[in-house]
Amino acid sequence: MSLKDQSRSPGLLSTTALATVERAINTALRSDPASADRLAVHAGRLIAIEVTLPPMAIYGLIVEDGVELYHRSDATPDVAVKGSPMDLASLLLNWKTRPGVIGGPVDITGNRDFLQELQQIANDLQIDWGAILEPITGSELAQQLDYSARRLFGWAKQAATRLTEQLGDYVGNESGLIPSRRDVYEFGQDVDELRMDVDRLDARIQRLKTRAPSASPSSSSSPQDSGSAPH
Amino acid sequence: MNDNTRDDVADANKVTHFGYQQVPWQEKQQKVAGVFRSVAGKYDVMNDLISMGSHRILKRMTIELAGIRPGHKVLDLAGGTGDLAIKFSRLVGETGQVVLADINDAMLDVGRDRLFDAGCSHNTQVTQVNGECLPFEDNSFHCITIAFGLRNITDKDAALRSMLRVLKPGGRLLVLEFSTPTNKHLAKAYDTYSFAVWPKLGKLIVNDADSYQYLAESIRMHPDQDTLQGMMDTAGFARTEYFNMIGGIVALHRGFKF
Repeated sequence: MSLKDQSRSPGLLSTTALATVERAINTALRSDPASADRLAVHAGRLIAIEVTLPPMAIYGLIVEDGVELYHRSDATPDVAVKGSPMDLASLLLNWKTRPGVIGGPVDITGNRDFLQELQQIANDLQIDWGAILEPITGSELAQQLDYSARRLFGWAKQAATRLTEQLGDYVGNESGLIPSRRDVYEFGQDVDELRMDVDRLDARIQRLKTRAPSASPSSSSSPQDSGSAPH
Repeated sequence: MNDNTRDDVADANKVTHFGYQQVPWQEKQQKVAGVFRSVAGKYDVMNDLISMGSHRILKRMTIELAGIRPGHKVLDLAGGTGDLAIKFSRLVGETGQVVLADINDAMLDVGRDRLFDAGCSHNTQVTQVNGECLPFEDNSFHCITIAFGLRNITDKDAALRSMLRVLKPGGRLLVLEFSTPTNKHLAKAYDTYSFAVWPKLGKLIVNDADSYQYLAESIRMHPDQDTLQGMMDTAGFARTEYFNMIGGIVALHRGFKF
């Protein structure tokens, strides 16, 4: 860090925003102990995230109980990534960019395995990163955040569908309150088969009826004639 | 009467301020100790209340300007309950060291427990010291911080000289302290708030209004930004500067040893 950078006054608002984001991430980690444990393995490691436009740097120090975020650090990061906000969000948080938007390059230096593990943990956390990062991303990522929100709603719709299916399975298979789709189908097949049997029986009766008048006057007819009756 | 005797008499007559009171020079230390012994158990809660949480943000800003790296040795002077020491412990890593120092044993007890609870005992030391005569070797620390503590030291010039002595060349001192608001309207509102509300909160939370009356008064008796910067220059610090925070209610002074 240059002497000029060191003399820049730390901003109260930006520091507050960073503290808010840090608290949100750590809260999310506390609700997901498995991810927190995976992250704690990297305690002491530092990731530097440099945003090109607007120029901004965030340093994330992994600690035993979560992360600590800083705007500046004199330490050498274990891994450093540099790029536009959207490209970084796409890389680190697996945000799908808006259709038609071509992502730019992200410079990565340092330990890529560490970065990959961080990406995996970030994805597994299942939290709304858009909302969490809003205090520091501001309006810069607003459109991307909107798109992410739509993805979130899409996820919610899928979740509702899954829930409906699971509820159907429960009512159908486990509770026995209503027949399953397959039971209904098989029942329908049975009904169809029965209906066709009835139709066939009806046809046979009709045929027997049509033959009956001709047979009744000649009751003395030979037994061979009756043997020709349809079965 | 020899020189030593004359000095003793002069010291005996010397007075300093304890809030708005004038007290014998030797008594301030004990009076300040009494204040912090009284509030130690709920010091952090009171800090959150009277600063409305802003002290945490100000300490974060201090950490960012501290330039701590893994392997550094850091002295958190008047570190009390260990807010900064815990953060420094994580920043200096396994190869670094943090010394949490305070003159007050009650505050150190709280700080020691918090360091243990935060899993920082492996690279921290807790020690009771007088900031005016630090018991460390010359050129020992990469960084010294004193947050909301310099105000309570009787001989601030001696303390600054002592800090300079134990800093390594290239090391830095950060002084986070209440200061003088830069806007007169803000100053008036701040005066009203601190004198009317803080003692009442002190009475309510720790059953001690006097300690928070002292806090409000001691802030007004503390040197303003430029005066403190001058004192740091006089002590021998280089490239001194300060950053006003919350309109100058708090200022962060920084100086280097070269």
